[in-house]
Amino acid sequence: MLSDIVENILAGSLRAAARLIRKIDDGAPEATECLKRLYPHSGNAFVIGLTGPPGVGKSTLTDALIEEIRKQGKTVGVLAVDPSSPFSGGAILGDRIRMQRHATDEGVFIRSMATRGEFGGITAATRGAVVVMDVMGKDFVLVETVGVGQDELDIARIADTTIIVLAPGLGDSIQAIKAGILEIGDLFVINKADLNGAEKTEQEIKAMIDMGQSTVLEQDNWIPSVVKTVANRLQGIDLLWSEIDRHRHYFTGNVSPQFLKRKRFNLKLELIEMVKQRLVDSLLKKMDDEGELEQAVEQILEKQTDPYTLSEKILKKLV
Amino acid sequence: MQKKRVLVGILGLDQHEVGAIGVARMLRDSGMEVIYTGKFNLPGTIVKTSVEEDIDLIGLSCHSWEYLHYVPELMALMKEKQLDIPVVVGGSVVTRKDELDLEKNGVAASFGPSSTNQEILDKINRIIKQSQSIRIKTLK
Repeated sequence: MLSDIVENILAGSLRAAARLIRKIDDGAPEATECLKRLYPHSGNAFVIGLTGPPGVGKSTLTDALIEEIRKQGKTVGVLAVDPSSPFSGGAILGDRIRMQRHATDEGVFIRSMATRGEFGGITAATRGAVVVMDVMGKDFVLVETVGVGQDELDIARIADTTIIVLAPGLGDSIQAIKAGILEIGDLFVINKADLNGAEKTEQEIKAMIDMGQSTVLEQDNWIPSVVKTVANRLQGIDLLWSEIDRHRHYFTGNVSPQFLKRKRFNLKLELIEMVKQRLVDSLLKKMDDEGELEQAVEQILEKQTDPYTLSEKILKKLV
Repeated sequence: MQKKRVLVGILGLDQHEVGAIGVARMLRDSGMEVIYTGKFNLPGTIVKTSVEEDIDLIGLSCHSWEYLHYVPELMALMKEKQLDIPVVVGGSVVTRKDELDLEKNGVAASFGPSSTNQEILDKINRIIKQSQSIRIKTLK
């Protein structure tokens, strides 16, 4: 059964892949078993991450990139992440509306994912879904994050090229490129560049890059470029693609110590993240089963104890 | 835990989106993940999207007559692709005859304009539960 799923996915079966992504999302134990077997086959797809504030046109830009990739005869998987409601746990996933013209194209696999209470713009399941799309033979995987603000930087851990998408007139756009987001951006796109203020935004970003260069240089010698696009009219997409290509060649061709350092750093964070998640999941489940979690909440509510003491007590159970 | 995933979309050139968005919100608030495909979908789009998103139910919103044209085409295509996902239709004035025709085509339920949120929700949950138990049986 398990080996059937694995084999079907390696053979490129859309249905098997879609099913497994659902199981990964639901946290089914068999999904982890499948991923263990699929992981050794991964690493062939080039992963492009798109992140940026809400409303800058990430979905439309993703659609334009799909078009560009398909023009070259390559195949592409798309993961579009939207937020879940923290109250009901439900979600409306509507990113793919902007990409529906590619919906019947066999070379395109679009999948919507909800954050399911996780922060950081992507979820732990997104990583697994990238692996699935990779091993089913997609040449490229595009990951579109939820509209993020300033510190949701997880995308850089799974993407080979991270694109920060911005638009003119977002108020103080410098806000969006504070520390962190500047450091993860391999490329910056100013979408909706036909609107007033595009030049100003471009200058601001370029200035930020210049200022931040010393730290970026230490990392890997890559200086991020800034590209202006009008995604819904496909303007600037060819230039953006050539920049992605330049970074791709830089990335795949680069084996400098700084570069490997970045890779190692990402892998380490990923591993820590996975351990953390599993630890918390199993501990919370155990507590929940025994009704301890509710009890603890009541105790804090009644001021019998405080969350600091309680969390220490809970952690002691582990050690 | 398996979270329910449903598709909500509009077929053909039907422009009326408010009802679809309202239903999508209601389903979201009941804890489901709604893949919202918006307007201007053809049967081929719905079928491929359903496979890609691995959903439990297809909900088609309609306010014109167009569903009468497209639903049979969609059901035929789903059969051809061996896609076993329940389909419901809602929004338009569905006459008794249309309802019977839809049922004959394999549509699991149709909701008229006077359906309440609770009615829609209960029925959809029931349909998903049924189809899953059938799926599990056939797998065995």
